[in-house]
Amino acid sequence: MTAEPSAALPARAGDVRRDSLALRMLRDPMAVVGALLLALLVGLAVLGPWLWPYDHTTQRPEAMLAEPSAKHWLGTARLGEDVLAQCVRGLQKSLVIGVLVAVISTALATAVGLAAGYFGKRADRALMWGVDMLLILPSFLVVAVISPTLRDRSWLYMVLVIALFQWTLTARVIRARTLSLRGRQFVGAARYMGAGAGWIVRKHLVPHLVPLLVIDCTLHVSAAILSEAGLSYFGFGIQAPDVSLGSLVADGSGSALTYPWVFLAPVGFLVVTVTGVGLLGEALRRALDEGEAHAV
Amino acid sequence: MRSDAEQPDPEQPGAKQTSAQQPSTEQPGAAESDAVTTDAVRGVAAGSDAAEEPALLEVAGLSVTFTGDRRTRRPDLRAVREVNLTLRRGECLAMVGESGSGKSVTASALIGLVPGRAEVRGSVRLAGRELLGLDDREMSRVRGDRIGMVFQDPLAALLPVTSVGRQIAEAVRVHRRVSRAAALRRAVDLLDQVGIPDAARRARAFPYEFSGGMRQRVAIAVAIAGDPDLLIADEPTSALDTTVQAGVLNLLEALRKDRGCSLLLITHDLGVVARSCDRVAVMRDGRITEEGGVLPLLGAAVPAGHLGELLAATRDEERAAPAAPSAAGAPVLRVAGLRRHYRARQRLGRAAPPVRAVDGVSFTVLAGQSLALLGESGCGKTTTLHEILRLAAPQSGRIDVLGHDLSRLTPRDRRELRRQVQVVFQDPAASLDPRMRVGDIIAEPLDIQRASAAHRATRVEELLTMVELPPGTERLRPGLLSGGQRQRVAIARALATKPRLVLLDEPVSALDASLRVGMMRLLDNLRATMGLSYLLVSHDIQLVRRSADQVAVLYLGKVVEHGPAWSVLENPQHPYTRALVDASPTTDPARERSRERVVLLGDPHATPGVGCAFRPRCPLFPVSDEATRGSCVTSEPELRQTHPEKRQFAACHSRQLKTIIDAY
Ligand SMILES: Nc1ncnc2c1ncn2[C@@H]1O[C@H](COP(=O)(O)OP(=O)(O)OP(=O)(O)O)[C@@H](O)[C@H]1O
Ligand code: SF4
Ligand SMILES: [Mg+2]
Repeated sequence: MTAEPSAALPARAGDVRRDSLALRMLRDPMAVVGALLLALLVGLAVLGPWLWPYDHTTQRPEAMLAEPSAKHWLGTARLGEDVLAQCVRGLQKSLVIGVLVAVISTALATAVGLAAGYFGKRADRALMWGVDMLLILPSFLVVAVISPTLRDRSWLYMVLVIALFQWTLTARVIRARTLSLRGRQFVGAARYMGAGAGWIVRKHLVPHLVPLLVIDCTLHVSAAILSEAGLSYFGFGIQAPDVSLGSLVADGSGSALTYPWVFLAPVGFLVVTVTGVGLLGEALRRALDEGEAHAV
Repeated sequence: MRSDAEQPDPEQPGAKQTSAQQPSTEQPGAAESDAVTTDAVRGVAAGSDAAEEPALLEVAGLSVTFTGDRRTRRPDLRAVREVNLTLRRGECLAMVGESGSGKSVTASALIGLVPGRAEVRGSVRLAGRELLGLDDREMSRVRGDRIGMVFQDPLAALLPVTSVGRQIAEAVRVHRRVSRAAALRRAVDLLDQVGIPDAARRARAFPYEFSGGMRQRVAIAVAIAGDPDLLIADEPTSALDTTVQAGVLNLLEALRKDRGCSLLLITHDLGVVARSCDRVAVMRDGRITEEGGVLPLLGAAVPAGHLGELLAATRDEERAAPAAPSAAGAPVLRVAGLRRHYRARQRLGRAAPPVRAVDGVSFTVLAGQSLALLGESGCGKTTTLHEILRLAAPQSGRIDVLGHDLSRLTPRDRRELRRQVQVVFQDPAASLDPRMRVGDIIAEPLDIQRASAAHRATRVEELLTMVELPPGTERLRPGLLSGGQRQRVAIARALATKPRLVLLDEPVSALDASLRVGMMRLLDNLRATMGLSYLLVSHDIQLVRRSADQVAVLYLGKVVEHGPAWSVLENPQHPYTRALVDASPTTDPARERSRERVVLLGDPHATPGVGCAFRPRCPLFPVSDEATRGSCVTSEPELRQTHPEKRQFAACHSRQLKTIIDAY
């Protein structure tokens, strides 16, 4: 051969090597704080009921609206329920709802966005019309209208309703990304090798969308938690005797000035949860972007 | 464009004696002493030009370091290291080097536009005034008034929604306090100077209405609007076709002579340097390794140093014997009367005529042979490839691959043909999935065909050896490989299923010149050892000459000449082929400056509709006799055998090509 350095592997390999995602995240204080916060909250939500003597339904009429004390760290509510126990229960519910909504809406968005972007033409027009309709519909109003019929059913229906209004924007982004990926030459090359749509989606499109999906999924968690809180605040969400952080905030808001702990405790949990998820999502985005920049 | 640029003009007041017109009088000894370090060259220059006015541009110890990022552990990158340069008035200095050697960063440092976070040290003096350390406002004045810039991609440099006249007028008004109307008049004037025909009308057009070459002319008009002393052109012709490239280079040369401004020309094309520059500086890893006069350096019998390496690669290709005819077998691919028209977008409700991307193309590739499709961009080469690769019925015409008519394929045949027909694209960076590992990329065709895991593993290993990549490469991602290595991966992938026909779409044009020869040699060897047939798409004459058996020259979707490659390229019978051959630069400065060329004028995509499609640009048409001209206008020429004994065909009405072109 001529002078071409094909006999040697690139010397650059050392300096351009991509660190693993985990390593990059560990170096980012934002990621570390977010992850710690979330770990703490999830731990609390899972283990709380075993660590704390009170259940969220236990009522102690002898201690109604008691101030925070050694016995009740965050005080008690109107009927003598322990606020910390309620918050733990609410946190559980909110986290579960957040994760479920995120998974469902990301999956739906991926399927629709990929199909619209990859197959184009008719499929694209039909699917995007649907997405546009959902985007135009005032989601809160729709939920308010249908919530009476959901009132007596499982809270899972509410998960579906929130997911229904959350996936659309992501679907558009995924469609746009798919469109541009589809035009890339390596996709054309695969097609000329005889690859079918399934192969191309699995091997060439999804791997490129993963960073986007991970980030969006995270952001969906906090968005869903906030949506649920909003709905519950107006009475459309979780119904008593069950509680979520949102319904707790709603219940406590009346006595926010007189018995502030009833209100501030769930608000605090809500803020910390959403912040933790947000920090993690943002850090993920940064770490993945960096990886992307190296992978060009 | 301008014919006056063709003739060497000895009467240039500003022109330096170094641009000597007598090439071979230099003794080799003198040439060698010239080809040393910058300092020595400056010593020589100072000695001989003592009475000379001070240099226009003096760069001393220029260094650019891109600051790293601690968080991502990216180290500092010293892109430019201690560069010294001098450029006299009216002189043209070429800066050559491989991609990534720091040419562009040097240029951007000169004009104070280094991208990103970088530390710039040293000194840049323009007519005695220090430029480094000027504040943004002063610097932008210098950029407009004293230094004009021309970039590789003219479209990126022009605003899409403003008419070109307005853009040039804006540039004029930045430098001079004149009224809007006066600026517009001056813009038209400038357009005229850069060779845009019908400038007053074209000034109202938008950049997208212009062809690549014309856009570059507009960008040049913007650059010279402020009447700069120094023009910096960074790869001004790399994005253009060779035929158009010649026109733009002529223009730059003419401007330099007419206005006496200096030119710093950044390029990787040594042919361009040989043709129009006085001095050349060679860059490598951010340093200038050699500097000196073009004639002694490039004209030396055995060029030394890094320049020698760069030259050797290109010269090797130039001097390579034409491909020995390969033993031919049965037809592997037969294309007959292939047409592919695209519906054009409607304009103002009126249906525009369809774009005839491919308009009746026929050729045959025989087993073991290599056929080249040659032509400018937009002539339908790639469309032809894609029509074959689709393995589906063409819009019109007929394609037979390995004896199967594509319009009557059973799904099973099609699957089988997918194995037998493979493709290598131009740019491996685009055709390889950056997220996959090399091993998976190479094995992808096998995976799609569901090959067994054992077969897959051994095959990947075999293929890596075949394309001369070291073992272990399969674990890397393409981003870590060099351009040449990536293209080897793409070749390995194409060979994975043991195909019989490989389509090569400009397989080396995205690579550095020094890598091209090696890559072509590899492809030639593979063809011989594996009994492959190639359909090679290229605009590069040298490459076609060295590795194609047959060539078909395409112009606007039609074959205008075809035959054995050596015979077509040695003795072109169609004026278009002749122009292509002429436009292809060589690196011999003496020859490059003395030879005559047929230069094509006009827009490569203009077609008259009836008669010969090449007529608007044909240099032969205006000088032909009455009868021939009549045929050119009314009837489309058919391919005709040009010589009773040769298998060379050309589609031209004129029978006097040879005599007329020689007199031209
Ligand atoms: N903004 C930037 N930040 C960091 N590094 C950069 C930046 N711009 C360029 N570089 C690096 O500087 C070096 C020189 O780049 P430059 O673009 O000057 O090369 P070149 O000789 O012009 O190559 P080509 O022929 O491909 O244009 C390269 O290693 C490049 O990666
Ligand atoms: S047919 Fe006429 S116009 Fe066409 S190439 Fe020949 S001489 Fe030129
Ligand atoms: Mg460059």
